[in-house]
Amino acid sequence: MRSTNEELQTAKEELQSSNEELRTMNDEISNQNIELNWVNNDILNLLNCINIPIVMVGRDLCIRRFNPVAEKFLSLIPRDVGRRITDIQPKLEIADLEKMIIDVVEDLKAQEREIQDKNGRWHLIQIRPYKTTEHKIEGAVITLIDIDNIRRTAELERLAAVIRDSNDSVLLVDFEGKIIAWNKGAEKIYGWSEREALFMSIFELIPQENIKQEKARIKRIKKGEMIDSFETKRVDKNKAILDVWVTVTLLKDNSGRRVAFSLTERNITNMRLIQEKLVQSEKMSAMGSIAAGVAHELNSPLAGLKLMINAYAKKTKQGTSEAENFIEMNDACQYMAGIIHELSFFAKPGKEPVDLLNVNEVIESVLKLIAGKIKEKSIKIQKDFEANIPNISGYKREVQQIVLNLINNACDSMSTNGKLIIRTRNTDNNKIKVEFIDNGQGIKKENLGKIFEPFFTTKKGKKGSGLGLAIVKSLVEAHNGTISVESKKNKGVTFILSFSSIA
Amino acid sequence: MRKNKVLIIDDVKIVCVAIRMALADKGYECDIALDHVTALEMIKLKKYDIVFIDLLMDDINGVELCKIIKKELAVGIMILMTGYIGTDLEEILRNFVKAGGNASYLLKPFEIRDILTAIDNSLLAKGRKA
Repeated sequence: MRSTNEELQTAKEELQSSNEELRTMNDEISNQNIELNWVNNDILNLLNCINIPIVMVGRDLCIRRFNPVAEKFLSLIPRDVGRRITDIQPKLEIADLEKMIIDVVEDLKAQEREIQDKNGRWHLIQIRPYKTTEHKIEGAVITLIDIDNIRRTAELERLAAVIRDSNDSVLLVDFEGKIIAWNKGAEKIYGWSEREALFMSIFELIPQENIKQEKARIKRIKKGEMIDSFETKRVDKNKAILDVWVTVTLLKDNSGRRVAFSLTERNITNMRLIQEKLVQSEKMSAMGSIAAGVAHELNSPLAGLKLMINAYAKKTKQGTSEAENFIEMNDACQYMAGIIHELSFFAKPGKEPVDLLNVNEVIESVLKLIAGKIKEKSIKIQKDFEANIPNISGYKREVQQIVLNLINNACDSMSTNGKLIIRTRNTDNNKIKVEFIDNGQGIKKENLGKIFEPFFTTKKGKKGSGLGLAIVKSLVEAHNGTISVESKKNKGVTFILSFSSIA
Repeated sequence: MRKNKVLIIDDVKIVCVAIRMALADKGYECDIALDHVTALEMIKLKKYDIVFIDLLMDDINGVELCKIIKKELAVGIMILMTGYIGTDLEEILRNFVKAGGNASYLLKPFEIRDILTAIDNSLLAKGRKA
């Protein structure tokens, strides 16, 4: 009995001690539970407060958990937990998502890619393996980081670089006309630096006569009217007038308010010149074919007329009024024949072999040719020739024609005390410069642009056909030379010719 | 002395009439043809010493006409006339000479003395050849 009692006593003690242990264990577990709870809370809070959509999926691609941002961003609902991520239709379509996740789970390698959502915003999707504490891969964690601003900033920087380094002038102007941005192209075209330009108004670039029109245009831009690209004129820092091609872009702030406009401007001054030259050369070539046709058509009847007039003239008694009339008729024919002959210079480029020509000698030969006319008008010729001038290559007859026409013109423009300076120079850049400087009546400013046009003449009556200078120009250009003219009314004319020399 | 017989072929009538007028004074006997068909008919009927041929006529080219005349008919000398100023004129003249024409040609508008010079030169050249 005693022993039983003792046993019971022992058992009770043991139970008590077990109980103690259990209680301790219970306490520990309870403590651990609390800790786990804390951890769980920590993690949940962490997950929920991160402003990045996070979705966790299992190896089976089923959604295990997502944070509220993901819920909102991907339009998920709590019921989606357990569904395959590929089965839900998220706001974001991610091509190959399944493959990406499987790759991550199997290769343990994180994957990332930049994608664009339906609103055009850019996101970086990152998929990383979901590891348990035992280092088992149980799935993947998908995060989506909004990189839209980063990308846009980079894009803007690229765009800014393009604009900054553009050869076209790009400027921003506010509606008061104040320049608020100025690129390198603008500096190159107009000459003002950015620092200078930012204190300027757009109106300083606009020729006085255009300001009214440009102000009206700015008003239209401000109203939001679409403006087609247009051609206009600008004044650069050196007061030179430029032709520019302008495109206007209206700038709005985020709220859609029109705040300024940008002007992209291309300098087309040279293009204009080339275009004009082209038109001129087309004119000349058209002139050539017309000349050939006209010459052929007119020469036959003219030949008949002339022969007939002369035949009749011979039958008429000298000194009668009929005889005088025949002389008049013959002169008229001669005049027409002369014009047709001059026209022929447009029709046929020189065909004799190219000569090496000394311009001094060519000028001398022409002066001999028209010594009579020079003497008759008592014109003083002052030769200012460069000795040992290099040759030019060309057709002697044509270069003579050039010189002849210019001297003839000078003689015709001078009345009393006429003086013609003919100057030849060998300039540094292998050019031969020939100048004809007269002190005649000069050319009116408004006519300066027209004097090389065929049939333009200020000579009265039968004196000029209006072809002389047109021929000169076409012959000079046929010799790859240039000709320019300077003149003021009553101050004489200077023709400046330039040819390439043969070294 | 026998009068030289001349045929003037040109589709511009005043050219023909004027040359006839000018040459008549110098003792030439001139006929006129305003187209090549008439010209060929006339050459068949009469032996001409000198034929003036215009280069560009409405219905035929002077070089072609020269070829036909040379091949089928007998004439003395053929002289080309033209008011054409194209760059290929020299080549045309070479072809005309090749076709049997004369090397002396007349550029319109010409004077009576130019016609006489061309005739003299051509007759001289023919004389040398003969």
